[in-house]
Amino acid sequence: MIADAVPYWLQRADPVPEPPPGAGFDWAPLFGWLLVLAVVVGVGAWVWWRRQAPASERAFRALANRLLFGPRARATLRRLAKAHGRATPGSLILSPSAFEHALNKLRECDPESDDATIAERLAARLSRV
Amino acid sequence: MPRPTSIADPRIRLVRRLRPGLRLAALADALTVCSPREAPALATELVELAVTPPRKDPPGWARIPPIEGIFDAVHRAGVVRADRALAALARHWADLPDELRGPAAAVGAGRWGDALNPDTPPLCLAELARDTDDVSLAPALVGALGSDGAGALAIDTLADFARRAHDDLARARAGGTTAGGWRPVAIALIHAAADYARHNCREALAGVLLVLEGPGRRLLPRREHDTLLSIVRDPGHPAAKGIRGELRWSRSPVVRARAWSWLADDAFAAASLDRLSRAPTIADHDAVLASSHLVLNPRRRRRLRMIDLRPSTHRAPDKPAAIDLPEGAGVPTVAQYPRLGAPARRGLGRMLAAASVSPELRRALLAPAVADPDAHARFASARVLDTADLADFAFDADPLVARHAVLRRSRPSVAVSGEARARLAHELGKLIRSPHPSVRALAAQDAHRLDPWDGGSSASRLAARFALARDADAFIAEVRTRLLGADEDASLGAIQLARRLGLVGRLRDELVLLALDASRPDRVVATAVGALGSDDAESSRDAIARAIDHGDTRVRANAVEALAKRTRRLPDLAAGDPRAYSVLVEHKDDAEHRVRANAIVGLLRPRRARALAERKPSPRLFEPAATDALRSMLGDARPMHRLAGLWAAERLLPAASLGDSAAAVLAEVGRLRADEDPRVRRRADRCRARLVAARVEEPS
Repeated sequence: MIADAVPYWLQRADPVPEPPPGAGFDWAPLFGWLLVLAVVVGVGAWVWWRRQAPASERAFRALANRLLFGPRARATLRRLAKAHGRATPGSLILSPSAFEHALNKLRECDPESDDATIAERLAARLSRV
Repeated sequence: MPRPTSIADPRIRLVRRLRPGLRLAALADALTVCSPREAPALATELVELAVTPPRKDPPGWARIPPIEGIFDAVHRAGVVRADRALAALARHWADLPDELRGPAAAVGAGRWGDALNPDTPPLCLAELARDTDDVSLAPALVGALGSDGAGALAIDTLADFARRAHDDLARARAGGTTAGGWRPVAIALIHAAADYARHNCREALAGVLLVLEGPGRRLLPRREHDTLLSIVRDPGHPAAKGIRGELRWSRSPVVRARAWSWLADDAFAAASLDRLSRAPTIADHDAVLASSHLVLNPRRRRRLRMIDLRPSTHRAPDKPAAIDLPEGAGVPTVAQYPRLGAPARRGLGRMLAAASVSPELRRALLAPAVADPDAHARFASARVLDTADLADFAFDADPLVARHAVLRRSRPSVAVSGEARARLAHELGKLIRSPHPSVRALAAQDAHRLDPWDGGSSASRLAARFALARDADAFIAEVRTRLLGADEDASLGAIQLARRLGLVGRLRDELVLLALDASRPDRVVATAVGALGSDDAESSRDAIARAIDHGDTRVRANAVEALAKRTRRLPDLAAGDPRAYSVLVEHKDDAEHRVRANAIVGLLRPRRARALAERKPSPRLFEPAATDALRSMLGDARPMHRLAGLWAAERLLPAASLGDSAAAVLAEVGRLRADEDPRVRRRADRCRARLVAARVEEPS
């Protein structure tokens, strides 16, 4: 065959296909950067939002995080603090006497409440810290 | 750094895992509601957070401004956090256990004033100021004034700050140094005065009194001082009423000192007077008496007299009756005197002299001063005591005190008689043996003034003149008694005194009697005869004439002298009194040198009287024979005659009595300067000096 007879350096390479029309800009890198920016802004906004809370509240959150308290326990602590009158949720974690006082107050207000039961369990848990 | 023991608490372990900012918030919240048993562990953590973090420098390769700025910012953040921890501690200071207050105070030393939050409870603030002793808290303390529970503590603390500032400044002024760091106290006091209507705490104004006068004044710049002064002086300002009340009722000795200072001020005079009228403690007396010099102000002195200082009417039955003031009076009682400080004891006399005090009470109150160990105090008391009370001070160990007492007791005349005189003589007899030379000299002078019979002392003669002026008859009677007494010295003294006081005429009979009494000692007779020379009476003349023939040379010499004296006023002796003239002429060549010299002087002296009467010197010699006798006497072979001749020439030559013969007599005197007898030579030198001074010229 003649093709086989033509030296390879004389043979023509396969033609490169033309890009399809309308697909000239690569959006992928831009999307990547925008995603990073959004994450940064989002994290910043989240941090800002977190810092808007009073120091007491932030301290409570930090303590609760350390103790792996769930939302229900946190809510109970907030109710206890409210029942105490002067205490903050974080101070109830650090002061067993204040916690007991708040629990008594809560029982006085509503002896059948679930919060009191949860609070008792919470107290038992805190005593094991 | 070792961890505190509270690490055993799992909750503390938990809170330590938090970031410092959150830890601070958690601890502060917990401290608010925790029990006293839990508080120490939480507070310990808070104290640890309050420690200022050490500044960390960047490594050497990173020491460029931006990186150093980052390090600075980190350090500043740490400092701010530590200050917030301090503020949290301050907010809960009242809940802190006592054992933690000391370390907490040490951690915040010098930072409390800046770290404090306005919402700090007054009780915590007052206790914090008291425990930390930090004057930077003083301005904040003003806010605690008037609050329930903390007001009294705030007042006490503020007053303590003010008092210490005052004392520190007083010490600095005394030592010539400067005292700093009290500026917050001054600011607090200004605020306390300006805010008086709110807190209405009169006691808080005690500090204002301290900084308005005295060493505390240096606390305030002039403008602020004037502002404060205008507040307390303004009758419409509530603080003015408060300051007067404090001035009136405060128990502080410094306030009493301020009342003494402001007594001259019309705005505070009434309140000051009330405070000065009572002094319950010794310190009250010390504070005022140490400034006793202020009594020199006339207005203050006048108002001081308004203080009622009457002796106590209450007297214990078992104690002896003694005049004294009641306890707590405006000036110290007799029993309080030894407990006073030295400056107060020195000022007590001056204060009592100005106050309205009876002499008896003053004497009683100052009686302990005689045993005062301080010489200045004794001197100050001796200055104001009556002279009758100074007898003991005259024997003081200090020469100045003793001299002052003796001087004040010294009398210009002998105004005492009888028993008092004997007592005074007894006392002077002791004082003459005083160890102080000045006292001895004064006592000797006083003793002379006390004794009118010591003719050798001018003071004694002065005493005799006073005695004569006071009661002439009694004094002359006493002189007469002494004249005729058996004591030879007393007789001689009395005769001399009679001559000096001009009493010869009134004692003529006694003197004549003495002159004619052969049993009397020759000295007495001679002195009596000499005294009669100044009397013109006939009986005196006869006595003198009889004495001229007396066996004793002294009597004869005095008789000649008396005769010459009687005739001195005659213009011409030979014509005026031939009998006396013949006697004098007869004795101008007497064998006794005294008689001879007296006769020559008697002969030559009348010329002087005549010259005086004629108002011009006479060129003619009065008595050439006497002049020759004088020259003969100067050339006599007997030394005593030459000596007596010089004595006569010395008295005659300066008065130009010798006229033209003066130069010749002077030549004789000059010759005697080389006499063989040393006594003659000495007298000749003296005589010549007098003659030269009188411009008597020697012949060339």
